[in-house]
Amino acid sequence: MSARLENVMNQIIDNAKTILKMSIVTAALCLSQTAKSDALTININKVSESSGSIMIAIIANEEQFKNKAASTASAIVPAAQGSTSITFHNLNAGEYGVQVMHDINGNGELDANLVGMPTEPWGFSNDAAGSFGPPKWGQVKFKLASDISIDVNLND
Amino acid sequence: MKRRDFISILGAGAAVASTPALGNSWFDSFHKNVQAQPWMNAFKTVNQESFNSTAVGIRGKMPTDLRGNLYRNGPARHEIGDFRYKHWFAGDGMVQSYQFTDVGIQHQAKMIETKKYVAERQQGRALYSGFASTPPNPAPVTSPDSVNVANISVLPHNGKLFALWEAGSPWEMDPDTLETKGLHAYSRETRGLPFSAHPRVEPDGTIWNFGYASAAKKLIFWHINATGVLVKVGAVPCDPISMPHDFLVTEKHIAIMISPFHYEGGSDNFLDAHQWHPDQLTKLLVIDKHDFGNPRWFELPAQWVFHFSNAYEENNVIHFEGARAPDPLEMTERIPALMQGTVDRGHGESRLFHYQIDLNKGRASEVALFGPELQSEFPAVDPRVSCRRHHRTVMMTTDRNQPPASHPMLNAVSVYDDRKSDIDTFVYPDSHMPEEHLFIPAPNSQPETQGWVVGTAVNYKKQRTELSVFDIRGVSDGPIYTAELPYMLPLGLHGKFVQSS
Ligand SMILES: [Fe+2]
Repeated sequence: MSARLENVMNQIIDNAKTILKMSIVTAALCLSQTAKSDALTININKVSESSGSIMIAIIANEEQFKNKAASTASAIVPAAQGSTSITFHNLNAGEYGVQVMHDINGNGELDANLVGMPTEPWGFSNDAAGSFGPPKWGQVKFKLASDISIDVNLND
Repeated sequence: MKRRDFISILGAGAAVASTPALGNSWFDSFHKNVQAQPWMNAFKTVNQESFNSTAVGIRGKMPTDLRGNLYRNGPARHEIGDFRYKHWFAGDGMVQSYQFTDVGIQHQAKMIETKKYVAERQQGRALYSGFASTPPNPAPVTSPDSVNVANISVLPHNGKLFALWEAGSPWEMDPDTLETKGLHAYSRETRGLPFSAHPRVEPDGTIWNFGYASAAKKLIFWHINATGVLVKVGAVPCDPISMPHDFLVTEKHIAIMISPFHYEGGSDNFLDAHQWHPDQLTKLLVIDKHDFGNPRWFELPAQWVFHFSNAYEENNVIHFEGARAPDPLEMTERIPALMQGTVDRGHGESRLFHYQIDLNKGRASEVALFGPELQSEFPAVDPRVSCRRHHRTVMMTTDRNQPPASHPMLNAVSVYDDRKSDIDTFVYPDSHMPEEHLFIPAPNSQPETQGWVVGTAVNYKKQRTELSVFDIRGVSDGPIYTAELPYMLPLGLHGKFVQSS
């Protein structure tokens, strides 16, 4: 039953790890941006426990989604059971996607079990999920044209 | 995984998903054929959440020292709306308890509230691609546990009760109320790892289990202590990989059979992602029990075995019995036919074989214990000799030399003793389709001497599920106690008995 799913999960983990590494680099970038118009508030729900941190990456195009380019913005916040909100200010109007991971044990990675499936929670904007694969960029993306608030439910 | 593979798999999935009418044809066929073939009522769907009753129709006397709980599991919801699963093994699990008390049998059954069951109940339709078919407009499957139907067996352990599937986690159940408590993880690191429905539990309560991960081409092995604490988990590469359903544990080793029914992908349902290769060999893997190391591979002719009795070793030779079929056609062809009532009368081809794996000589061998007339399945032993020398095996049988039953399933229970030339058999009435029977030891008796054979049967003519108790020393004398439920439940799979102390 799990077969292709495991492949999928491997891919999600690979994505996640790459985005995570990039987030360290891009965090500084994000803070230095100025004079942009819109604010994006992300409500991260179904946070199972208050340990470790929540990692959020803002992706602006398919290239970034496929890990061929650094994410546009990212943040790491302490995890709090239930819901956590974070607002990214000064984003240009346009299309974005959001990927979230809960790094429960604080080792800086989305951990996987012996067959490569994530053992820590993750989620995408639009609660996008792929069947036998990661979601497609088309499922993840949304339009930012004014200050908006979106929900991402962690998949546990 | 390579991007190219990923795309090709998605393509294959789309091709299958474009024929959603398949499920409905099983629905139509079942409801048409059940009129003329009343045995098909044993595969009718359950459409209610729970059952609760005191057993009626008591005949005989329940032994005063046979007390406890028989827990059973099996697929029960075979249809959602007008979508019927193509396969018996796809249905959502329902856990049951038959409580043996001073005033009779108290029965309860509850649908297991898996993530899948709850999501489908909420939406009122079948949502996911499953064991052998795909409903129209399937929803994404985000993890094996999101489609874990918990429908194969139960594991009562250290006061807890688990419902088991084989490709995902155990579901913890309340042993008294049968409420679903949630997915169980032995540790965070092992969340979501496959945990088979056939763990081997030693007399001291130590659990050994395996799991298979098809795409990762790995076998997972588990060691859990008597208090339910994970001692060790490990992975052993297995390429090609099959879908092993059961395995073996001796005093020192673990053995598992990999039939040439290989996972090759290319289908959106699990069963059709496997290919049967009759020209290839069956492999047996032996590893050391204490550290899951020292892998050794042995070979046998192509074959398919769902269930083994029990294993032990003598002079560095591993011994066990298995219900051996020449191929997996029972699963790939016959059961789907059964589910729509197009099966010819007849039986699966499995019969009891004795196997040896000689670790000194580095070879495996097999010998049939009975002629082709004696079909058998669901072998079980006295739990007090689990993972050590056993002599007696309780099993479900059909003797093809006897007049055939009016249903296509096995129709008798037998006790085989490897010190005797004959088996002891009770043939159920033609109206009954017996389910798995277990060996329940008599308290304070020596292993394999005294005790009972306890099992259930679907009386499809009377539309009742019945429970029977036999003396292990003479099942051919017929049951010493029977009781019936005021309803019939679908034919199920496996159970375990928890004796009151
Ligand atoms: Fe089984």
